[in-house]
Amino acid sequence: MARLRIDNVEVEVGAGATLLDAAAKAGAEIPTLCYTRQTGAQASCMVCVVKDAGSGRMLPACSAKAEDGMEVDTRGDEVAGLRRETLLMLLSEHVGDCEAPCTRICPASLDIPGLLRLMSGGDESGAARVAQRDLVFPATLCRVCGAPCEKGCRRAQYDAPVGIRACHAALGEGMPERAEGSGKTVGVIGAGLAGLSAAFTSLLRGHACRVYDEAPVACSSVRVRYAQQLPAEILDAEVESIRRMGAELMLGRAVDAAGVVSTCDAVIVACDAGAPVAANVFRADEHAMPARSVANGKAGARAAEAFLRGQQDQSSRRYNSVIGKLRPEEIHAYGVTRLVDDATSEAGRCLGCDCRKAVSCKLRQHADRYGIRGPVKRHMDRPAIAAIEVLGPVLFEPGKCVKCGICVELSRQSGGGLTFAGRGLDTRVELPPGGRISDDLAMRCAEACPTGALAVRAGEERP
Amino acid sequence: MREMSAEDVIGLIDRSGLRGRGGAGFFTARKWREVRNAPGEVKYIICNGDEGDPGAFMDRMTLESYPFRVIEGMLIAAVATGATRGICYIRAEYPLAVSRVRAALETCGGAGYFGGRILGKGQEFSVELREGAGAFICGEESALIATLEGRRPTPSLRPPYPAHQGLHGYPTLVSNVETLAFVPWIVRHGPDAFAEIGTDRSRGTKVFALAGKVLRGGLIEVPMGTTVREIVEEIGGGVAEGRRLKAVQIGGPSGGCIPESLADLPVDYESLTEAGAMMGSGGFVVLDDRDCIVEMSRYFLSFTQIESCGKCTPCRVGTKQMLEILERLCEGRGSGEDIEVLERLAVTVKRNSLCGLGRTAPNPVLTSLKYFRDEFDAHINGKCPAKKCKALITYSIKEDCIGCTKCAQQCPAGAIGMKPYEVHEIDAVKCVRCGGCFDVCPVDAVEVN
Repeated sequence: MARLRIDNVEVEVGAGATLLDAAAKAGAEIPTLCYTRQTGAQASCMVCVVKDAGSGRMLPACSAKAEDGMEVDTRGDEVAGLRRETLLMLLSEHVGDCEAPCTRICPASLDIPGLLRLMSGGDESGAARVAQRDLVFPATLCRVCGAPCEKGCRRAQYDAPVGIRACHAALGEGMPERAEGSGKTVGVIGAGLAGLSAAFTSLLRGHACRVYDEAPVACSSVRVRYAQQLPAEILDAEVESIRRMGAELMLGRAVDAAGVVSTCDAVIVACDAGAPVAANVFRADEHAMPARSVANGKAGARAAEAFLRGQQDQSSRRYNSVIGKLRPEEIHAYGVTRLVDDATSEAGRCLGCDCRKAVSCKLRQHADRYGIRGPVKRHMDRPAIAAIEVLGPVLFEPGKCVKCGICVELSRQSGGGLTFAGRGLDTRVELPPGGRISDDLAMRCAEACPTGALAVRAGEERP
Repeated sequence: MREMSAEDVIGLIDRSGLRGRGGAGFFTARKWREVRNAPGEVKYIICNGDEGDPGAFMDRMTLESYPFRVIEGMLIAAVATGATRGICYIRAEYPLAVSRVRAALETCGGAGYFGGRILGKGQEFSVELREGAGAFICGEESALIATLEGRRPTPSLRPPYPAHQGLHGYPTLVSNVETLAFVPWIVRHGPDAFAEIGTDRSRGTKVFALAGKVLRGGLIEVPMGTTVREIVEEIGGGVAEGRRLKAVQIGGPSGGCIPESLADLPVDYESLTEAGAMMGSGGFVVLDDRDCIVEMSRYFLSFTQIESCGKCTPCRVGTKQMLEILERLCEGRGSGEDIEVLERLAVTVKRNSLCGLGRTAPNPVLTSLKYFRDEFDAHINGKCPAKKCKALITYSIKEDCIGCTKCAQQCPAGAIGMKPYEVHEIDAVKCVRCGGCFDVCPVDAVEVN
């Protein structure tokens, strides 16, 4: 039994308890990478550092035992600074992209690798749902977008870029499911691409939605500007599907902005008209580039969503790890080893440059929490890109490994599998020569891995 | 010894004030008592002979020349702690030490020093020899124990200390070679004779590997508290070639540099730590005004960076980042923010690494920054004040040249044309800045800029 103070909160823990246990009891949340309940403390990542005020020593909370009379600081400036510096070091040796170059370039942030994976796996309707969720007007954008994504495609360096636009143009309609009703109403002023994208995104999040515009038809400016490329029925169908989803379109009537603000829980202004300044009013500007209008609409909706849920809007400011330029000698290996599925379709040519754990990656979450904005200056040569390995249902991408030791410990507990090799900066996780790993163990490792180094092939869905 | 109880032995060591010579300077008697009081049906003594600091070889000398002192020390420690098994852990790169200790162990075994009744007591003890696993980190006690258990040499967080939970989970005394070798002397001559030597907190003597720019280098044994200047001037015979003392680097890659202005500092555990250095294992490198502090920091860090085990983030990544910055500085590619970044990285590695290797690795850099910051600034501005960093200097020949052609004969790169009785010239493009011409010129006509 030990009685100690964590950030001035007194707690009592049993014998053998760690500072991490004690902190949990005191309600102090300490970031970890290398700790899981099953594998215990590895004391390798050092992100969970706390300060023992008595000795002045910095200790990894996951392994340091709670002792009677300790005074522990888990959130002072010194502790936070050290965590941030340590995360920066991990990010400096991180050779992987959180988002694929194509997605980063796409103004509407379409999850292109995710979409192409679904397509090449035969799930056309799943792919269509991703296109609808991210682009809102997928069929329209196909016709009016210059496909900058294809210019960023890494496959272009290897042979030729993936025909991304043609792939998603071939998709049919697919509607993502709406979240459970929130009971809140979002008002949108302006029924252009930005306004309707804001409306659609708000609907998906479970809010009711009303869209106001003086013009009698939606998206009138896009219709005029792209009269040649864009058949009216394509756009009409996409507007109609948003209406069918539940958007109440109030078109062709003068808009009483003040009235909208007073009757809706949140308002998104998506037109040039001025609107009253209030805490619940957000903007989503129309842009000359249609995909940007969609992006602005989604961003406005996310801001409104965060406001309605009483949270901070972090979505658009997430940390992005980037590999940077491939070295000439890396291009071939990068291209070959990332082709993990034997697909023959165009979608199957995608190299999957994204991270399959872009949402749940703890390294990325901690980077966000400690205010790290990319790109991180490495202060050293970027480690070379290592080949991806296929471990049954799991992909192992060594560049994203933080050498935490969780998978090695899980393997040890299971009597074999992954192990450490090399030392220092060359420390790496690998199968020993002639070694094997069962599908079950690989799956458990992927689940426990704090980053995208070990991840199931399908990847996870983005919000 | 035969009349003394365990408590008597510990009391005796306590009165002598002996502290561990491995670097940290923990009081030996306190450690022995911890092991004695820790419950366990088996207890180990490990003699740590994994001496790995570049330029340090005092343990090697002891193991090769006086193996019986160490074995005797282990036997006495066994009586004091109640240990039943001993392990001599010697780095495999010391084959002579290994064979001599092995022979000494056989001799002791044959003479009945091991077995069921050591030193006439009803206690069992025997010693086996194990060779190190070939990495600097194996000298860190938790990593050393890991290798003895057949695991990778990676450290773990202490506490639990080996004294409570060591090899195979049993109480384990890990002691440095030099510490154990002192023990028989203290028992024979009494604790007061030992305590008379040295300073109040640091008793006895310490062996250093004196090297660098002194007239006489080699292993020296000095009373604790001897000043840096005394060691350099009186024992080392002063700085060689009449140069000026610039600094001494004490404690090897874990230690730090002490500038000439602090040369009257007494060499003991506390004074060194206060100055930012460390006793370490006893490296003592003398630097003169032709040695570059930045280059020296780079050299020591390159050692710890290569020897980092790679387990914890700050040491694995941070030392590499620091090293690359130092390399850039030495190559004249430094940028304005480099020094600030270097300092920030150094503090993170020092504060947040898991074991002693990482926590001390930045010491050479931090002390150099503390005492010689202007030299770092000079490197950013493309100048090496010591004229040592090759990328930042050029060689040329003054009008004083007598045309003896020695430099042209010496030059390995063909950068100096042979022109008897004429003033010679150096082709800066071909010059590899080896300094051969500088050293060989009889009239000092070669200058460095």
